[in-house]
Amino acid sequence: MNHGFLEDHAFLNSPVHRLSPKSKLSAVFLMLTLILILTHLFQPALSIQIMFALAGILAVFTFLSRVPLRFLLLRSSLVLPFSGFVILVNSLSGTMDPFQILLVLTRSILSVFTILLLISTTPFQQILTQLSRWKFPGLLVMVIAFMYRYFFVLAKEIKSLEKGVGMRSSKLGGWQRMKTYANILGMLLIRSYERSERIHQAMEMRGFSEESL
Amino acid sequence: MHIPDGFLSPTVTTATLAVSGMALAANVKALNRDIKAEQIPLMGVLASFVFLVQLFSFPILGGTSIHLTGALLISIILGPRAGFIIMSASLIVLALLFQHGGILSLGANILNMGIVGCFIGWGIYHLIPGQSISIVMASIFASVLAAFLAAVELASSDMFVFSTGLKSMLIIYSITGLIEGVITVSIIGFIKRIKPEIMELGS
Repeated sequence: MNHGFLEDHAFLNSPVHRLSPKSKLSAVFLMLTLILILTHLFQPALSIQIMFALAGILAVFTFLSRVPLRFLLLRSSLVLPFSGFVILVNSLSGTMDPFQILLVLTRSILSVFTILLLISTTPFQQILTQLSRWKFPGLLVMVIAFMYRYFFVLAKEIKSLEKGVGMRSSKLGGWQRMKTYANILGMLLIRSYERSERIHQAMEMRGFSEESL
Repeated sequence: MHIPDGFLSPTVTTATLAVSGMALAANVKALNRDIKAEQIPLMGVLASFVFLVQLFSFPILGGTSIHLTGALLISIILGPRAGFIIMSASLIVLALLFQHGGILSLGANILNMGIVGCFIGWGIYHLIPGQSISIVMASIFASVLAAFLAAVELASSDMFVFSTGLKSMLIIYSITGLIEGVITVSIIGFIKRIKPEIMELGS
């Protein structure tokens, strides 16, 4: 069980980490909304200045949080393939000029950077707790919490299923291989179902019922 | 097709957030009415399963790979309401922890993949339930409709001209839908053979 690569920096100690999850989540929602709205309200030239100001605020928080900038930038680049797709389609039809494309790119990178800064300074459990305090539907929060808890357990299981198939069969052709993949997923589904029965028994033993939602 | 933040206009963002938010609230309310305690861990663990399915890439021809959404599979097994909650949860986790999609664009993504994938997909499957061909048809239709909606959302945010964007997505997503359909048929066949009681969970 390793949530390490997701929460690598969430347990550091810094002024930003010590802020309450409530203020951090509110700030993130505010930041995302500002990035979205301000650039649509003003002229492109002014929008770029606004972007610089917002990036400045993020830079200050990044510095204070002691989360490595390299990590944040590397993970932010995950939005680039989608941008590439939009730019590609754009070059075929040409709705936006290069300046507008630059604006869109900046908007998406600043947004994803904001979210990364949140999850690198706040343990996921605290985010979920705050969401339920804000009257997020209990069922949804619970499903997310389970998903987070059992994701790595199931990932381990799928690894061992794949290893088993790999040991027993040499290289499979296209159709056979697809069928084997489907069987691995089917097996994983059955094991997940059986696991949920055991989890339910354990939860019931501790007094959980449908009223606990 | 997970749309990140920054690409949709404020109008499209607000409209899609409103639609998806209301759909979520209505479905949670309906599910809460007669949920049994054992369904909660079931939904939770199967949500992890769907999440893994989405991260599990299939190698297809030419060295490229695609991944499944699992929306139709989970809706056939647990029913579209539970499937929709699971899909929404996985989209939220993908956006928060894996930088796949965005927070404000969650409305659009939940609409394209959750509402379409679970309710429309399941609805088409139920025209002729239990048949392999209806699973494949439902999967192709849901995938194409999701791409169509994403094209509408991006085009009305002035990202590209609708027809060009649509053409480039339709080809990719009808093939993706076909492959997802075939694999879903295969998985459901496997479960019916090994553990048929899972197929009765939704009823």
